[in-house]
Amino acid sequence: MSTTAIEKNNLEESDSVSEKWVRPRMVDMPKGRLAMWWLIASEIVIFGGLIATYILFRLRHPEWGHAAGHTSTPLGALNTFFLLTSSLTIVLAHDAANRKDLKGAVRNMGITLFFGLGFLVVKSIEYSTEISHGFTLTAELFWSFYFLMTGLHALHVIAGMTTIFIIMLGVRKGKHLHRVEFAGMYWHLVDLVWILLFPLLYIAH
Amino acid sequence: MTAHQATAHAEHDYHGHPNYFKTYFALLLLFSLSLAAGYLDNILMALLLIFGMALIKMMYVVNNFMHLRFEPLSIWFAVAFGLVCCFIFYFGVYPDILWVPLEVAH
Repeated sequence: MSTTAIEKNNLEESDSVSEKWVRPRMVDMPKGRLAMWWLIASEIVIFGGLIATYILFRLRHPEWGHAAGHTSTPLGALNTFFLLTSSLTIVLAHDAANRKDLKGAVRNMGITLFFGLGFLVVKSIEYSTEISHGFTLTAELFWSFYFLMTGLHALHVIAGMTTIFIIMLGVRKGKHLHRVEFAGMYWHLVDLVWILLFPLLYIAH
Repeated sequence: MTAHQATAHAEHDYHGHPNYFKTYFALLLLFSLSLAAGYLDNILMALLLIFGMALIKMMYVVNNFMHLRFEPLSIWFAVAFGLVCCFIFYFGVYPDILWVPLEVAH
């Protein structure tokens, strides 16, 4: 496919896969993207195991619904909004990097970092409020799960932000543009985990 | 074409993509609906709606933002393998969890 055809394809932004499109084989994949998918598969096992354990205990202990009522749904919803929006901006950064639009890529990565920082600020406000009310890591098994799952997730947010920041420095100089996609995939994983954690810990009282 | 050239070419490959803004607004809509579902009186219906919409949101992100639908089938299997492991784990330890004394939870 010529460069012009690829650009035209990009501009079309079709919702359906082109009829001419043929599903690639694994050997045709960029090595970095392949590695990212394996990393994501391993993360699914980590978070999946943790979430499955939580659901098991939650079904066994309906009284946890009372404890879950003490989590702040508005703050959790605000964080969901932050992560969903940052997922959009990082994929726009990926798109801009593909078009060699360095300014657009850096701008969208910066916005992603801003929302990531916002997420951490809101999370720290939540933590301090909960701890001040006596809901500590050892207060109850629900709170142990809560702090473990959200804490592990927050560590992933920090790791994602660090990665995006380092890649952004390279992108500013026009280097390693393909890495924007890899950072984006990791960031989407962070978003995916939160999409499941939010109803589990905040809405399902 | 050498392996290095193939990799270099693949690094710059690109496919058509979904409309990202449309996906984003669909995600926001589902998110708002799941928040509203939390206020339903029927608990079972609320839970089904909340987690059903969470799964749809996850599929939207995986397919449209992570472009999984453009990837080789083997990648689908790699991701599904992790989920299958979780299911095995879930049903494997379920009997044990069922017999954990209630005091432990406190």
